[in-house]
Amino acid sequence: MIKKKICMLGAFAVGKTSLVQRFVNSIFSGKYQTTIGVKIDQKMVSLGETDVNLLLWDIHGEDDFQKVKATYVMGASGYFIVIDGTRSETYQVGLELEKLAKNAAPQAKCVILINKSDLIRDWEITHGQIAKLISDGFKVIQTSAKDNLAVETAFTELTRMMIK
Amino acid sequence: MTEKDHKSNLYSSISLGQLTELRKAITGLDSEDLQRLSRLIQDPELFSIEISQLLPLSIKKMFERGEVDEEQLRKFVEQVLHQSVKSDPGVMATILFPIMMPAIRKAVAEDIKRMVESLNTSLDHGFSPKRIGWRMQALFSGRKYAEILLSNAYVFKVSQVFLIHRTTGLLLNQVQETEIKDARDADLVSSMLSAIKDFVQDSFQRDAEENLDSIKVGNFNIWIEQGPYAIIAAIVEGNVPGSLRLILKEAIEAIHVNFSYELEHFQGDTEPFVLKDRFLRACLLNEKKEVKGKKPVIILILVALLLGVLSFWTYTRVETKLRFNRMLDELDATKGVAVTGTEKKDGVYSITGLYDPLVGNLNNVVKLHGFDLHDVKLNLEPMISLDYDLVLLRARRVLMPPETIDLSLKRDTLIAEGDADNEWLKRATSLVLHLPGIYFFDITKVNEEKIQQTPARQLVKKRILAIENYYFVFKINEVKLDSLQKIDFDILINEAKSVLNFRFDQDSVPVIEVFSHTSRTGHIDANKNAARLRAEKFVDLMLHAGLPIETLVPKVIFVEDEKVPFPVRSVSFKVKYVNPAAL
Repeated sequence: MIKKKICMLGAFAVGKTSLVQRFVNSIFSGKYQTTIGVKIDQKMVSLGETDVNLLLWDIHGEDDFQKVKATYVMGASGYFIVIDGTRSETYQVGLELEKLAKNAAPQAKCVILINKSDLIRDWEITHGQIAKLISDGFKVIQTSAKDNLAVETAFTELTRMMIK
Repeated sequence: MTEKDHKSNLYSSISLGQLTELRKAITGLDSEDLQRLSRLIQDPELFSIEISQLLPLSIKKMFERGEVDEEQLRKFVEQVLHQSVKSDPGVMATILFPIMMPAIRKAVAEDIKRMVESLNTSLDHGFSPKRIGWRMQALFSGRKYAEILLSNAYVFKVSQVFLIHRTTGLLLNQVQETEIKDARDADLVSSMLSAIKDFVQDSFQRDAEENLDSIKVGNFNIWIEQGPYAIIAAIVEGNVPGSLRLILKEAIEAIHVNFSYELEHFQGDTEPFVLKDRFLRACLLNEKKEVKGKKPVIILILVALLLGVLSFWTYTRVETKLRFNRMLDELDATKGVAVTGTEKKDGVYSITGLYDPLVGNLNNVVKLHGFDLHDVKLNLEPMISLDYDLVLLRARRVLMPPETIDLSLKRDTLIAEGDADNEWLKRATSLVLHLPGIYFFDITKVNEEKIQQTPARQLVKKRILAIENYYFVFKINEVKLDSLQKIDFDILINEAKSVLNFRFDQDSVPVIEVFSHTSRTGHIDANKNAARLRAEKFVDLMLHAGLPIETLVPKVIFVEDEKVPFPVRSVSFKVKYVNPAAL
């Protein structure tokens, strides 16, 4: 069996935990995020003949009061940068976190999730910004944790990229 | 003319009233309002009072409009609290003191309660011989049972060992004791452990070489040993010996030597580590307290004491049993006694059987063998024994031969030899055949020539002695003669009639005192009353048998006052000669 560490990164309240909760069943309480800044969950993903055991490090959202610890990202094989489509400021935070992750885990694969697609009419993130991300070589997926849109696809895609 | 001069000319041409009206038209405020606002701005204290009235309403409105997020506010409050604690922890401690102390007390009380319940459960379920031994050890050494329990249980035990990839935090392999059934998902535990390690190192690390090497969680210790690519985390219970650290170091070194390539190029494949788990298994250690060769002195004393008590108890029981058997043999060998059974109940021996009242008081036999009458109860029913000695004894009692007559028994024939008067001979001849075991009375050897020399006074004295030897034992609250007692009673009445008809002189007449014997044991007045009734009832029997009422005196006597006591609940007799005027 293959085991992979992946991280969920993004600004505060972009929906990282909601995305994870859509994807896994957890044994740890959410209180760990506010204490040590990370909560870990697990999910088995099967790709063809390969079973992959994903260890999801749901890292506390970065804001003015708490910075993401780079050590949590080290050793990750992949990570999600989660951006809240309805809050434009989360775009920049996401890009900064991407740089941090790239630095901590240079070999890791990245997928950018523009979350809250159920509120697409209220989006502040523009098509231009999304197009820029794609042109910079990022894999971008629009998700909705609330309506369970493209969540499974996102995790499967990152897994596929990691074991390629 | 300059612009300044132009304005000055303009202001001077407008009156004050016009200016006031103009100001009101522009601002909508009159001069009073403006003065109030001016005072507010100039006086900070007044201004703050004014604002304080509006601020709560303003915050409420902001919440309603969603302009303030609770999460943001919480963060802000937390940061302020954090800063406060950082600058002066004493202030916050003083504020929290009234809240924290009851909470701490409650938590401590709960913990103690849980501990007591846990201990009680252990005590309730721990009755193996070994645990009973520990309990005795605790009792005599004054140490707590829990302390003894711990000292005899595991000193330490490594229950689970994780091998974790250092960079990724992924679990490479884990081994555990087979009896752990509900092990949490090891992958998650491993990653979380790794996160905690990173968190601690990031937060508290002062030196790059400093690593988190142990975590204490309740009774568990998590010992961590780090290598360049992997770490070992061992879950240990109990008092961890320092030598375990060396064992973990050796294990992690061996793993790095044996899996150097796999560790360096780890891409998530854990199979090589799972297949070779001997290095981890070597860490699954436990150590039990060694049994010391030297036995505790207190245990030896205890064992000796127990043996002593046991020996004494055994000796006492055996000796008592042997003594009882000897007494039983003696009773059984006594002529006129037939033991039919024995029983021991509640520590009291009970002997059942038959006895001839002529044998006398058998309680003396019991006492002679060292038994108390409370320990041995004689439940013997009366009978007439046809034993040679008893038949002869009964004949002597009944016939009361003069000293000049010698009685003997040959099979079923009573032989009288010697000198006797005619009156005795007649009386003896009439009585003898009523005696059980005697069918013939041989008087051929009686010499009737000397009868005139036998004094009647001597005969009466003998009869008096005979009367005074009789006694009748009754059941509680009952005066009823059984068949054997009836025979004795008839003889007694005959003797009494003979005695009452004889006067030694003119100044005295014979009376028979009927003594009812009782004891001071229990309720004295009740005993005395029962004895009095017994004596009166027996006197009634004697009256019915023909004895004159004025010659019978019922009396009560306590056995404790007698030199030679009669049995309790018995009736005996005493012949006295008294002045006729006293009757």
